[in-house]
Amino acid sequence: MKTEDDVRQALRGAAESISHQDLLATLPARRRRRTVRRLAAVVVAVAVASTAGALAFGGGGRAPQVVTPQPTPEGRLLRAVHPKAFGDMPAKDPSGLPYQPVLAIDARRVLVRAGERLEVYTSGRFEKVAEVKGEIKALAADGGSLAWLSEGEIRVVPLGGGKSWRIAEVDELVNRIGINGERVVWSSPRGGVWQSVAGGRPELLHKGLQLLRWPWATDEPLDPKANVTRIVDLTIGYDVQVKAAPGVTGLRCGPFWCAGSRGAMTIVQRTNDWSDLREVREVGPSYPIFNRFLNGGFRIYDIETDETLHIDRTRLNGGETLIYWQEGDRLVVVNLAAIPELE
Amino acid sequence: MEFEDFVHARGQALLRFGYVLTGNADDAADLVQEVLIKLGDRWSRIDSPEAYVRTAMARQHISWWRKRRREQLTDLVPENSYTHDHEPDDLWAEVRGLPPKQRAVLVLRYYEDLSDQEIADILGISRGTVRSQASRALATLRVKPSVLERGQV
Repeated sequence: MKTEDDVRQALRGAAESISHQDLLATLPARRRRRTVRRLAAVVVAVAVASTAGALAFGGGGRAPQVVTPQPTPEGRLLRAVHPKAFGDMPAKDPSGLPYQPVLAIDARRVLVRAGERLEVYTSGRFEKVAEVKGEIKALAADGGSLAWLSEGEIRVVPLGGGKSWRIAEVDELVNRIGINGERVVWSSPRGGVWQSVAGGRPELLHKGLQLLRWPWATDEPLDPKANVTRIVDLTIGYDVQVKAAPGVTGLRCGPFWCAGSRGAMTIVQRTNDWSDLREVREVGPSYPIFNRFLNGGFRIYDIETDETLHIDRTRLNGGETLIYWQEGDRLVVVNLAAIPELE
Repeated sequence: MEFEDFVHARGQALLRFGYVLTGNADDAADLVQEVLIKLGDRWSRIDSPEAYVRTAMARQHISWWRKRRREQLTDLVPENSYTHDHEPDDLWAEVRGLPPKQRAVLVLRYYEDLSDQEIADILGISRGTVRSQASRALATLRVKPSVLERGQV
């Protein structure tokens, strides 16, 4: 017999499964086109900005998404090239609540959610970190602490567990957070980047920028087709002026690499020169993850090696830094943070 | 707060809500758009935009359903090109198969966590109807209800 909690989980899982790309894909075929014409730009802005939002559930609070099945892959499998990125864990906790991987903390540790509990999974063990009621809009972790945004409040707790404390109350537009030691940062579209140091009073760090991954921020435009123009290191003020390749739209950049669109092609380029321009067919544009990957779910483009690697599944879930699926009573988890750097 | 900022920050959450409400991505996007369009120049007078939009979405969903039922639309096109590959025994698949009104009640109860009275107010039906719709839906899903009515002491 199923329970009401199962219904809650099913609804939450379904809601989180809806992919941004799917919504975009529906737009041309809509029945009620009048609405599309009037608001398409806004919704596209939402969809693309959300997809491209640098931090997803990892640092910025996007929910994991189910990716539409793809044709048989051509090329090397991610598992064959990077076996260390693959791990597994139980699919449910002892009470039957499903585990949902939500954040790659580092190569060894994955943050998971089960009901209202956040737990760290590492080396076959789960350790409770915190309980969070309500929707989590954003999550971030450094090596020692976890920060989250829920119900208008940013809270921090040691990753080893303990009592959490409130950092700040923020308005409902805040959608990205970061943490680095005693510094907690957050931002919203047009709202600028704010920080609280050692739990102190919030202060505006940089007006007009959106947080990427600390210490980087960018002037992400609301228009999804507009390009970013600068990437700023907030600790030292180092300001990278982005030089978009001709004809590229929707360019989104990390500190070293950018990805955007030119027609149906994804263009990958360095931030401020065109010396290593790539045309990628199999993976859509997004913020480069860990300065290295474009995560297309079934396909991961590795900028360092200029190779698209495949996952031979027909169904999977994923956020920005994690991809996972269920096999029997286990979850197979691909942790992009566990892919070793090139030697 | 600017309208565009709100849509930018909360649009995806609204689409997720629309998805569980309607059962498919296409209608979810339509629903969000329709409600946002209707807000129009009332925007500046709304104190709690997210609650307002979610309530309007639930009402609009029911309104569409009633209208479609009357019109018996014949121009429906297959809408499975972007639905996901859920397992056949997936509870969500069963929820999607519920009549729209029952599904709306479940979504408002278990996704939005509203009381039965709040659901009744939003959908314009009696509290008893909320309870009976929820009861039928749970029976169809073979879910054992833990309480008969939400929001009652």
